Amino acid sequence: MTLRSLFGALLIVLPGIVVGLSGYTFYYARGYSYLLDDPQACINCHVMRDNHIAWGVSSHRNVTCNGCHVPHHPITQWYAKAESGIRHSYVFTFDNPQVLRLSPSGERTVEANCIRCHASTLSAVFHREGVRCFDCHRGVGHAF
Amino acid sequence: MTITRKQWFLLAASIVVTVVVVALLISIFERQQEARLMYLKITDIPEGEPDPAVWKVNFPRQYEAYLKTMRTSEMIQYSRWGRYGGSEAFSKLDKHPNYVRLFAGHPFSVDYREETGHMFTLRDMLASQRLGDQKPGACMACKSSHVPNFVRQYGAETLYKTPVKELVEQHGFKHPVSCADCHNAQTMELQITRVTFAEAMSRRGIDLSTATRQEMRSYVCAQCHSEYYFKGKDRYLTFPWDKGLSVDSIAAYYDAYGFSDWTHAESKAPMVKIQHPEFELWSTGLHARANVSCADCHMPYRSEGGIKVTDHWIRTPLANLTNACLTCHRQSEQEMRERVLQMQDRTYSLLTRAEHAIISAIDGVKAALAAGATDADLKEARRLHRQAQVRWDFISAENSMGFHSSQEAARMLGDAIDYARQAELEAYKVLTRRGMRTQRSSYPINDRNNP
Repeated sequence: MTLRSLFGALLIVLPGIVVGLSGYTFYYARGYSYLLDDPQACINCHVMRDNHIAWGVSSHRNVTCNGCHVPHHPITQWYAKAESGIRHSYVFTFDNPQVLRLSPSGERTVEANCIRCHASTLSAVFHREGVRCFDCHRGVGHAF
Repeated sequence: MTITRKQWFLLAASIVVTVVVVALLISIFERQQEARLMYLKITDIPEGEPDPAVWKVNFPRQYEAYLKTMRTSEMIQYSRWGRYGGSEAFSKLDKHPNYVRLFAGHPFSVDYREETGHMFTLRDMLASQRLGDQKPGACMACKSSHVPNFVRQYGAETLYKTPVKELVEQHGFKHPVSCADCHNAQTMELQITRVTFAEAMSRRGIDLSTATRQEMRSYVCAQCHSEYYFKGKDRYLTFPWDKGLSVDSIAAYYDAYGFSDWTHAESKAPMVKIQHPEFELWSTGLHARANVSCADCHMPYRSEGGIKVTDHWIRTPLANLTNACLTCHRQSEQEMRERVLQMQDRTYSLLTRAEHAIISAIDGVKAALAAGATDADLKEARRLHRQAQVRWDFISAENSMGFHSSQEAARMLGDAIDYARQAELEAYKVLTRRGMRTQRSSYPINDRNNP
């Protein structure tokens, strides 16, 4: 076998391996679940378990995770999912965070979703700039 | 035909991508396995096994963290943040020279140190100059993981009566407080191993068999981090909780029982030495009300890869603010630290004022004694001195500088100052009433008591 034919075979086989492995990794990590709306997707890994349990007994247990944490817009919702998906993959692979906090964009999203549902209540409420609903209404979605 | 540069590049890219994808797959797999295989039972641990190294085989993470309670050198830095102690055994008598007078006539005026980590409990107790080598077995009650087995075999009374020396030399007590003091060896469930606590709780009508896991996460600490006294001739280790856990209930209990640890060498008042009432102070505070246990802050969960483990490096939360506080509090580390230190500074300021007020009371009684006042004359002044010092000592001996219940701490220090000044006034009234003259030599109070 010449070097060239070996090389040619590699060029065909290797991309196959990449596609196969990527596909399997996507399946193994239940990547498809992140495209759906089932809150189970958020406890694919252990870090959200406490939040998930707390959500299940909260007043917002009939609203899914996406209901508050993802924008309700046909295009930006996919952008938001992709952005946090990549960030989470990176952080939980290379870092070992002890406490989970909403990112600034995550905070804006949650705030917008509070208002999305509760607009009629809020029309009668004066809110100072820079104060978010969940600064006071902590734990309505889930404790912590 | 040669291989083009583009083909080389494609090959390299394919290899890199393959490596990255495999690495990711393995990382995900590892994390999932970690979460599944948190506990690997390798050896059978006998119930009450005193040696933590035996437990280590099944619980390496917990053991490793527990060993860190020996890191006094690192804790010095933490206590600089904490300012009011951490884990280095500095002499409280050097730091507060007044303590020698406040505890005059009691062994605490000879040797009184800040406590160190759990792994040093036995060593520190043996080294203490208080009572030298005459220490009774009761001193061992909370210092060694040999205690649960010994008590199961011989009963608590035997333990309290057997001298510490004998326990070490004949019964081989050599391990400090460790795994067996809180855990059941088979189920790892938290369990009460100190009968003193169980007896005190049952007298309060609390059934420990119905305690929740969250309650147990405080109760196992409360077995030792509580005020106690030696009851009766047999010096039976007892918690003074029959009337309640507040300082007033405890003082009332001691008064009703007519108990005193020692007679004050200067004022001759019958005194009570308060010992580390962490559980009592915590139970009056906001965190207790919110059902936050000792372990939640002193042994918070930490993530180690896919595993959530209770951090067995038991220490001041000031050294571990992120895990201890920020799980619930949304503020920054900096803000939390400042808030805690502010509470402690305020408590310390009141504590210092109370300390000086009690010294003034002692001076007053001493002056009356020198002028010939009788015991009957000074009964009330001594009663007030005792009341003041019990309340002052409750915060002085407690290990959070008021943080565990800051408002309650301020309340009792306010009472302590008032009782002390009443005692001082009472002593001088005695002098005046009997026509005795003396120079009032009150302890100088400046306005810069604040740390």
